[in-house]
Amino acid sequence: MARLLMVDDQDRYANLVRRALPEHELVGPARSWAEAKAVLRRLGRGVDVVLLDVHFDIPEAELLGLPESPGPKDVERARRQQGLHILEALRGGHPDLAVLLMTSRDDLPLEQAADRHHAEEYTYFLDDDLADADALRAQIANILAAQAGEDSDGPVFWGRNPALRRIRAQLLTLARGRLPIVLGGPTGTGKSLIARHFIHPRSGREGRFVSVDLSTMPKDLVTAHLFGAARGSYTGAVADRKGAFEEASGGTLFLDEIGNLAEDVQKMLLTVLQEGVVTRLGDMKERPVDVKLVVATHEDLPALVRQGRFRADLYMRLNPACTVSLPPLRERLRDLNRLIEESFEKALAGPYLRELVEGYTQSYGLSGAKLTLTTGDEVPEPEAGILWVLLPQKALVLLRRHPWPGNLRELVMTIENALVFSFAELAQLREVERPDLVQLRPKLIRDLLRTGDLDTNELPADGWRVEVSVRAAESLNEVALDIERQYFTAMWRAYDGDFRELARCMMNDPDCARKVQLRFNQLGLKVRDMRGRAEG
Amino acid sequence: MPHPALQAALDARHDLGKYVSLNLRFLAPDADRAALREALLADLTQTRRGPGGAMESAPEVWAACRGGLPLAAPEVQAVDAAINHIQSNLSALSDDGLDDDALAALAQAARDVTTALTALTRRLKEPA
Repeated sequence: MARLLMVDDQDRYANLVRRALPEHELVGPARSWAEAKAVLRRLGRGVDVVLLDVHFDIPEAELLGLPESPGPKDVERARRQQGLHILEALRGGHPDLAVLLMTSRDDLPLEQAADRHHAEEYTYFLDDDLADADALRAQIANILAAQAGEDSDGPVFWGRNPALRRIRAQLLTLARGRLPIVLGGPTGTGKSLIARHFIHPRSGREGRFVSVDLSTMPKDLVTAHLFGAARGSYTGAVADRKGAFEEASGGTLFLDEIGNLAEDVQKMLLTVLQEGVVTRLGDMKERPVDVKLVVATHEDLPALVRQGRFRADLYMRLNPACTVSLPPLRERLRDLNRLIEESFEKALAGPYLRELVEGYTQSYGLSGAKLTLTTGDEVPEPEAGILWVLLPQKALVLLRRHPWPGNLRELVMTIENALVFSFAELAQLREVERPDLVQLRPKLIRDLLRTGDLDTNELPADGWRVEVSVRAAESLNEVALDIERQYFTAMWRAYDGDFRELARCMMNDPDCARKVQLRFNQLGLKVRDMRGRAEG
Repeated sequence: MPHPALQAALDARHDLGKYVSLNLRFLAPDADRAALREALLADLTQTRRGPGGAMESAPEVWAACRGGLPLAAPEVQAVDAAINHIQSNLSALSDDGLDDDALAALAQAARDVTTALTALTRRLKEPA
């Protein structure tokens, strides 16, 4: 069952859909953008598909898309294309929500509305003067099937990144096979999550999932931990113990940071993979083991092989032809809103934050209120049972511009920190104007992200990405200068006006700050003006 | 902006063509006479809520949107004929005075309106 939101000024379609498609829950009809927005706020991601009409005969005051001092023709035009204005407003906060426009595609000036915000792939059309219940049912089924293929698998969110979609399909195949799987990609991209929550449940194995982090384990304990130990085999081995291979037999063994494995242990691992038996430390008996092996590394394994730090024969045993490399977060920015929501939900599960939130809600008589994340510049109206957490547009832009060297892990921590600091700050205030509204202020987000930068002190490997617009001018030189002004301005904002950091980023030398500042002046950029705009 | 005649056709298709056979299209294939009459009543007597908030019948909606259309077009004339048929049977429909054949003919007239307005819109969209 899906939840459909009907946005239509007429009742008739909604009533029919409710009767004809009882397998789905229909909400609405919302008769204007204001009503639709209120429903979407209340239900959040609980809406699967929006059914949106195009013509709305509603009072002028409720119309979107009117110019100042509109004439009768303006009002009529706005009514006739109200669905497109609603679609555009909706895309501001819900870029990936499936919207079924109830009109045929070629009726609409789509280049002005539906194609914006990268929303085309989430906008569908129903030629509604021909559609019957079966056509609508089939259309909705198609949309839901498309969503299921790209959305989440439990805690693993795949999103729209094409590389991740391919990886999902590849892992589905690899999970069922007997060969090992190598998960690559930078740290914090969710390798462990995927191994535990995606590969293991789809492996068809009934045994346990056992995870061993080789980066945190003392080297002298690794052997016993992986292969087990007989009593008396080393000081402190007071009893026979199984190793991870035996524990995971019949299930999945996940070895994180395989590149850290010492060479002698690599040899033992190779033997286990070749023979399918394990011998405990200090024991002679061979015990058969049958594990689905998944290994992860953020390092370049072929490079380690070339350097002689990783055995070539072990590397070949790990099925390197099917290595799956997870993309960094900065390549998943189209899904950032959803990833922020996922991070928000994860953060709320933390005990300290839960305690803070409970204390806060109790002190303002909001016990039991549902924490609901909303983004953008519009401050939500108070609503019974809801504690709003507002991530303003400026904060969202900061998150979007951040290079995320720590990837998903860093995002979850940033959101959790922002929530913790915001609630802790509110707890110290004597009086709060809107207790039902907690803002994650841009300054706080900026501070949290800056700390992240200092920790890593490195640029994205492929450099910073800055969005610029190419605008026509009288000469190519003017065009080039305009572009240069845009990227200097974007970089200045990204570094919060710190010229030393800018110089480090652009010239690899913070002492070149003066040169960068001079170039600013040559381009006619005024720091005072930019600061005013940034703060305004 | 589309050509005024096309805009008028799009409006007529949306305001009348979409709603004049909406319940009929959602009717189960094995629907009985009562269900068919109920669908026709909804589609033809309460076709669409106007800007003032009142429900308008199919002939009323047609009267409001016919003005900007190319009146000599065969599709418009087909709608005129179908609406005339609907108009002359509306009170009998309300009084449950139509037999099965008359109900079927009325349903066909409603479908004809949708088909003609869809065809008109498509034709006007085609390059001359």
